[in-house]
Amino acid sequence: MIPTLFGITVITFTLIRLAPGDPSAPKVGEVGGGGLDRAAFAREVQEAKKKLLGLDKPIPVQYLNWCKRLVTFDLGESYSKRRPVGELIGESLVNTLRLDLIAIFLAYVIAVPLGIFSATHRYSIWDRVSTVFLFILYSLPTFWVASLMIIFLGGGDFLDIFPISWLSCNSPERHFPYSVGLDWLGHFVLPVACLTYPVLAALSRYSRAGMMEVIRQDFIRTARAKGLSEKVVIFKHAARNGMIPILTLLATMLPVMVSGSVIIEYIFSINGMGKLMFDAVMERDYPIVMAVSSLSAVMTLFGILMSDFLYVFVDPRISFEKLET
Amino acid sequence: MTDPVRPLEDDFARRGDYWFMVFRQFHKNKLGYVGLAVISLLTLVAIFAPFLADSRPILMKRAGALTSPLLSGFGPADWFLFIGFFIAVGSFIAFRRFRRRGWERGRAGRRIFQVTAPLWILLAVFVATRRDFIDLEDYQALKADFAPEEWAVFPLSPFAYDQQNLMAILEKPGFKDEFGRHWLGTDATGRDIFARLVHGSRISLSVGLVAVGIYVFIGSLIGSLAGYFGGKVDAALSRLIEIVICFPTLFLILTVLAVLPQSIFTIMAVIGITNWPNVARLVRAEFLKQKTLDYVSAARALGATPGRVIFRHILPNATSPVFVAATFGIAGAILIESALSFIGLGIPPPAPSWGQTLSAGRDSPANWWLTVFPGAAIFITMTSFNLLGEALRDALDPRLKT
Repeated sequence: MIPTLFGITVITFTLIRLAPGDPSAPKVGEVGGGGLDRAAFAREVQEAKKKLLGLDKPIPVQYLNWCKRLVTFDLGESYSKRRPVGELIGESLVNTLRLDLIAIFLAYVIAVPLGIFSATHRYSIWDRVSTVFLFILYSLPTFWVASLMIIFLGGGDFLDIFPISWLSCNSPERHFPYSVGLDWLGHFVLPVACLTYPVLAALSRYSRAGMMEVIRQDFIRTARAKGLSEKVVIFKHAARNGMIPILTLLATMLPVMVSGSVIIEYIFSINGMGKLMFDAVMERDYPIVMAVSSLSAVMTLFGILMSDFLYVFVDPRISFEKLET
Repeated sequence: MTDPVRPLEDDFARRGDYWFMVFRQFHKNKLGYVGLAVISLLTLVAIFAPFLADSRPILMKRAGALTSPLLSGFGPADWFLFIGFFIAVGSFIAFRRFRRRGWERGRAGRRIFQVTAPLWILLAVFVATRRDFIDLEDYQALKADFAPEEWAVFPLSPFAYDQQNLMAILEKPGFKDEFGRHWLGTDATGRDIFARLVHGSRISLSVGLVAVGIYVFIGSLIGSLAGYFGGKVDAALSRLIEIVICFPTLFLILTVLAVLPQSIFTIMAVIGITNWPNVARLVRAEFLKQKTLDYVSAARALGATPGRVIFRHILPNATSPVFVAATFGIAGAILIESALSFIGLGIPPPAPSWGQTLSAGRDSPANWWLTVFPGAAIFITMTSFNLLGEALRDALDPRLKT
């Protein structure tokens, strides 16, 4: 895990510095005038700023400095926003997590019963309908769905039900003027819907496949043979085993969602992790870029680790000792 | 006279044939055929895009001369697709004919390669001498004052994808209006959406194919090296795979786009270098499985070099999971390209990317046709590749074999 993290931070550090653009440059033009030699003055200011930000040293030294500060949990200060990076990440993470957790929760709540139903009523009309429907959901591009929702539900020439940006508004002319709670709810509906449906589509395929795999097995036949009711067989014996694959998916899914919802955050103007990263790369805000990419790498690695642990935890038949051999 | 023994033998041979079994499995899946049909249709649309939507007449008789402004205005890409299509179709027909004559697949392939290779080289040379040509002639106006014996055959929809028309800004979809018919409406600079979608199919499909080609190549190479050699090589390459998987993809894409010039090739390369680990893992797993088999030991015992064992013996047997991953990968690559174009980082204008039209729709939510149609194009393409991938997976999955 450590070498991977090291590799990722080194590559990130080098890459972002290879990109053209210099964070010390942009503001220089505003200074000067008053009989000064503008160019010389500008150069001087830029040098001073470089020194201040530590950008005058060679890149390896800069990297070491960054690591040194990281050990003390000092992520530095954003160049463009002039605030500690930790604080900025905290704010964005809260927004992103709220959306993602609701979306994941909804997806699981729908996907698990749907998978069980599909697997137990295999090749029935409802199984086919839900399979086709989920397949369509699976292929629908999120940004298209989001745009369509905005056009048809959030203004445009059609219905104007939901607000289309931010996660709440303080203005008196809000969409749901009578209650702050409703206002919140209204803001969450569209982004959460857009985040939920792809996860739902992916999850229910896994849950259906997992159930089908289990239902075929001998212990289910045994359970039926010893006279257990169908309910007990399905929910107690089959479902618990069939849901193992999608339970372990949980650990790998959250990191992907947290770093992957850029498009949704872009469309609905939500100040989340994706937007933070997007803006930071565009503005060459090195401290934010480094912090966010290391964070998402840590989360991804941690997620992979967690899913291995979850496997062992929910399924005692699997053990790491056995895997070694 | 038919030989009574021959067909039977042939049938047995075919039944044992891996690809025949795959085809038979695939044949059972009707949805796979639907996907394949839509993809074929899209490919034809992409190849013959100028014949479907362009402002220049395909054939024109004017002042006693028969000309084709469309063909004389063909750029390198147009020529390449147009002629390449006929070479490819010819090769396919020849292949079928050789096979029916009882030739082995390898022999037929070699013969076709011998014949078509010079043709492809000639085509490449020809294409290299072509230049994109800007035709400023307004053929619609020209047609208006034709003499009675003069005539012109226009493409299906007589608008070019980059033709701006300030008289028809943000026009609604329709079949009748005074300037012609903008079937799917126009955008904020009066460009015909139908033409942009038709020509956009070229971008989407080529990005999908090339990007997936790049990452299948990298992934197979790294995966096979890791799987075959094992030990330290495997450990190092697995670490590399892990790094790329954990790397924030968006960041990589954004940064690479900042370093390299914004162009279709950059997009292809970026998608290629961020997505190979998946293929590498599949190939590695397949190699781990295959390298313990007897045929590998046999090849080694015969003195084959590692390179030969890897690329001639094991890799051909490890293609089926890659095939499936590649089919889904094309859908994924098309999605990434349109998403990038949507947030303004994709292929630079005036190239007609679907995502770009979609992002124009974001700027003017009142004009629903800017969002609905390009999105539907992306959706249909992705669905058909996903359907095909699904059918292929079912067909190639050895567990389903009876």
